[in-house]
Amino acid sequence: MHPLNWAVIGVYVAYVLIDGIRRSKGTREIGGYFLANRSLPWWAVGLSVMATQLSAVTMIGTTGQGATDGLRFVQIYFGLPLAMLILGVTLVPLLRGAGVYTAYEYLERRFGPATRSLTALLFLLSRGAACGTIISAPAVVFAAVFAWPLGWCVALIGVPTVAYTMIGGIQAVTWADVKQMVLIVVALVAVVIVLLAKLPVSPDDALRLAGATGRLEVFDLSFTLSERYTLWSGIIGGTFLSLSYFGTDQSQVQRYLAAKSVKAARTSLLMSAYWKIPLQALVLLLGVLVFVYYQFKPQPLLFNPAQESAVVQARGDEYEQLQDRFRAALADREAAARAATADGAMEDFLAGEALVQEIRGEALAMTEDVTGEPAGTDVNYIIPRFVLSELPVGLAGLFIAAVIAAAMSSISSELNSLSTTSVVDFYRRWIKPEGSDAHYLAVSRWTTVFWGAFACVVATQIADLGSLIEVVNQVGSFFYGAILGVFLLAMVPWARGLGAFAGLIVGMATVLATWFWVPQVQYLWYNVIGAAAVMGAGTLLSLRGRRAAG
Amino acid sequence: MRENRQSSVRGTFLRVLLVQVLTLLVLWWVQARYHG
Repeated sequence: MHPLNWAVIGVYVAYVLIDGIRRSKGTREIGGYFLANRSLPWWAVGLSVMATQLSAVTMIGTTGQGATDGLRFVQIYFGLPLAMLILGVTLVPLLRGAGVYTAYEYLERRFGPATRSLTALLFLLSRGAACGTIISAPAVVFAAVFAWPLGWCVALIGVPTVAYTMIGGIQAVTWADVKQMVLIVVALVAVVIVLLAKLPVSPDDALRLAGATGRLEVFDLSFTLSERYTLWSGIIGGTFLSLSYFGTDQSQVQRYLAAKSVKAARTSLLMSAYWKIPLQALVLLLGVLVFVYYQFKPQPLLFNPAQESAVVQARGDEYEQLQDRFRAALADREAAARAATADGAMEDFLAGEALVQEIRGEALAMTEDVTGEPAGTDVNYIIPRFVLSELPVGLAGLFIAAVIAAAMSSISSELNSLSTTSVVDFYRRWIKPEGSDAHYLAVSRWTTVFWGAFACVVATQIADLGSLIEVVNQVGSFFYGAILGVFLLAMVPWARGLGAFAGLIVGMATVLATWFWVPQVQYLWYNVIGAAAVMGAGTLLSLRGRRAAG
Repeated sequence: MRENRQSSVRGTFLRVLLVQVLTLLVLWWVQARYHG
């Protein structure tokens, strides 16, 4: 990579690290370290909420998804604005008014320590694993593209993040998030502008080509549980996913608990309500434009250079023949694309595109055969490969820095929240209730380091899992519905402690059973199923308990 | 005071709804215009 690109990345990492360490004043006690003494302005919290949610998985995985599948993934966010409105009048004032450090601390007041501990444990397990995935995503890609050891790539992202999170607490995390969000948006907009400028056709023609292949189909109106992304799964399942993630996941809850006031907390969530869908559409559009770009510039047969080397070594002659067919198919497709933009007839272009995808399918099957890794992982390399080979020097560095920024912004919030939950919900609750603030602060810093190390180890161990953005949401959907159900129960007067505890277990079991026995039900619906199962079972058991008590 | 709060919540709800409808309309227009 060009030295200028490295310089851009180096300046960014150094700046974030120094700025984060500088923020450590005001964090001498846990009130400052965990909640910034509830002093943060709404716009900083709002940008931090968005940065926490937008990880490197979005920058690499969702953009790749846009290139291969188009815009329809944006449907998953259609429920988010409604969820933010609901949270603004329910959980936000409830948790702020309770004066708690964590969402799970509130559950003890309502249901007792068992429910609190179980819910907090589910959070630690799911978030800890997710943190590893979020480091792994960019690290695996960097390792393949730069031919670096995976451990180095994990360290490049993980070590500075752990450092400024451990030293500066939530102040460092939030103010770094603000800068990271600005960098991410600037990089995305800059790349889209440069892409549009580099295309040999007008933006209108570019979109016509993309539209012909179905990549601009946003809305799927079919109501079927087995279709992954539909308007209904987005509005209904997506609302439940957002309610749970933004309302009960400590990595988000801690952001608005640190806001100056309830009003500031609400306003910070509204920032996502207004901007999340346009931002996600921009991310997917970038992928769509990269697809169009490769109609006029030869694309690699395989985007993952490490996998390509392995295939060439194992089956070189066969791969060379595929390459020859691919090059011919690309040339035909390009000619057809140019003709289509001139006369509007898309048939030859679509036939050319189908042939290109068929040959790519053969190459992916060969890759899976040779390497044992799932063929779907190639989608995660489309954008990084494009950025490094096609973007001007400097801009490539800016985009890579934005990918690292997206990873850091998510990881730092998660590490901070994992540390908070570990200390407040477990260490202070069960092990040492009477410690001093200085003691808890020291323990918090060490737990941040522990979870950072845990996430880095997980990152080096997990294999490629297909489209990362889908994997992250799938795993989340296993837990989120049931956890949301517990918080919903907390808001109804008839729910009791034993009912909530047992209901949570029933909820998790129901989701697992659905995944195992009814695999055609798509993952977004797990959020609804989990929440409904917990509400139903929790209500029944609570009412039975009340009747038995007389 | 209570009426002011309810009116403020209603106003926020309507604003968010309006922005979302406009966003979805833009996406719908894109889909319709460039439908294959």
